[in-house]
Amino acid sequence: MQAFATPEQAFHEALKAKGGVDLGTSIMACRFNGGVVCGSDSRTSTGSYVANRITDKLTQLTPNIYVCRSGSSADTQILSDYVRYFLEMHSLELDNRCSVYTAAHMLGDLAYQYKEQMQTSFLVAGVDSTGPHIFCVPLGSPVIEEPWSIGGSGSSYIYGHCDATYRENMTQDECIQFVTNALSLAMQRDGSSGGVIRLAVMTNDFKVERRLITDPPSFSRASTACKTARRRLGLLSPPALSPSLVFLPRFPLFVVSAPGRAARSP
Amino acid sequence: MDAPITRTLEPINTGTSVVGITYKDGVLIASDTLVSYGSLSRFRSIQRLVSIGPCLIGASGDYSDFQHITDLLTQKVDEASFHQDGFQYTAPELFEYLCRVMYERRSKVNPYWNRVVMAGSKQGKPFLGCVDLYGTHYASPTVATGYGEQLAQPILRKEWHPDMSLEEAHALLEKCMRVLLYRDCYTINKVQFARIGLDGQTTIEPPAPLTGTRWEAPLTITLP
Repeated sequence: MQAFATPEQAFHEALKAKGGVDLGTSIMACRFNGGVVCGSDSRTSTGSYVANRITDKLTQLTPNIYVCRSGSSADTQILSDYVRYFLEMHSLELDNRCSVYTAAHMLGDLAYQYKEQMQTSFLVAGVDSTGPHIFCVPLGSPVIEEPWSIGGSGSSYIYGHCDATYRENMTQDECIQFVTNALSLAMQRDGSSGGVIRLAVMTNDFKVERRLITDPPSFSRASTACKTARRRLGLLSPPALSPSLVFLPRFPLFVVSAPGRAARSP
Repeated sequence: MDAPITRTLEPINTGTSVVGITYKDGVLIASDTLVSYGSLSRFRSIQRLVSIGPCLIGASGDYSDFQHITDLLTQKVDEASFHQDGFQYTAPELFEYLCRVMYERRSKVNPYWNRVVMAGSKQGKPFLGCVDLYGTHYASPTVATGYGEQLAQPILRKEWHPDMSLEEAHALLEKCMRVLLYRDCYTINKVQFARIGLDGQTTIEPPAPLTGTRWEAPLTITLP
């Protein structure tokens, strides 16, 4: 059990051993023919305790760019805060939106500078005047552009699934389904990922939509057998009324000032 | 060349919490059906509650050691029946045997890396005991292992009262399993209940997902 498949896992175990609050995580971003979808689970773990089961790991850097955070909670939060501030200043100077390339490299440069002290792994996803982009800024802080990318401790378990399932030029719905299914599979297998699935959909017309999936799809045939058995035993309670997909209203988010610290979840 | 290590150094395939409670007509215990391999939820349909002769046991910790313990206890029960003199061990007697075994292994610094819950009946009253890898053992109306000790035991102690009905006990254990599902990393949403009556009759229910989990909070907390 001491050999790990990926550096992500090894780093994750090392961070846990140190006792840090750690985003044991599954994060993902994927491009489609009209924008990008990024998604994450909602679990923050300290060792084997779930410190926060409703974490929001999708952080907005600019109205058109999100970053998915994994690694040490503290390190990723502070770097995101700095980069959000720098990008705001930069866009005021440009008098225009920032490019995803700029955001990714700003984050990558900071992370690279503090490589020894910090443990961060990011996916920067967004839309700019040249279209949708995803940049991966993993441990070690290279900046690598990819059409889709996964990260966090749970990502190790879904490389095969994603490699087999990804197609270019998906529609928005297909892409959302791809991200949801992949994250759900990762959350099922990775003990450090769980909770709900959070999504952010950014389209080429610079609109952002946040979604929440409280009952991720389950891929076990055994689970349907359980339900039948339970029903036969008369142990099933009345069906829960919560909707499986919650749509927040679509509206363009043009944030002029950076959100205050009070808005940050603990 | 160094001699090979011939003792358990660390648990590898592990099960998480088992919770148990006595009620009016017996004992009810519950666990999830997961055996983890580190942080990987590797085996998701494992029955961690086992019926052996007059008792029902469940354990957290290393799964291979648990399998060995069930073998040991099954042997003990079978040995008694070989004599064909009508004598059978009772749950407290098997529990005492198990405690001695756990302590012996601890003394050789080669423990069964488990915390075992044993349920049965003792002189017409429900019996629920717990023994860990050191051999520390006790009997109590409520027991919990693993994260259950920290999260479920306070709830159980607060809400247990003598002469609970099966439905009350079931609801209370469900509540505990829900808390454990929220706050223990290495659980899954598939739990199994098992009960043993005062006559020794065991019922192990099929595994089923927990209902009533609540996720409204994320609706209100979304970073901009």
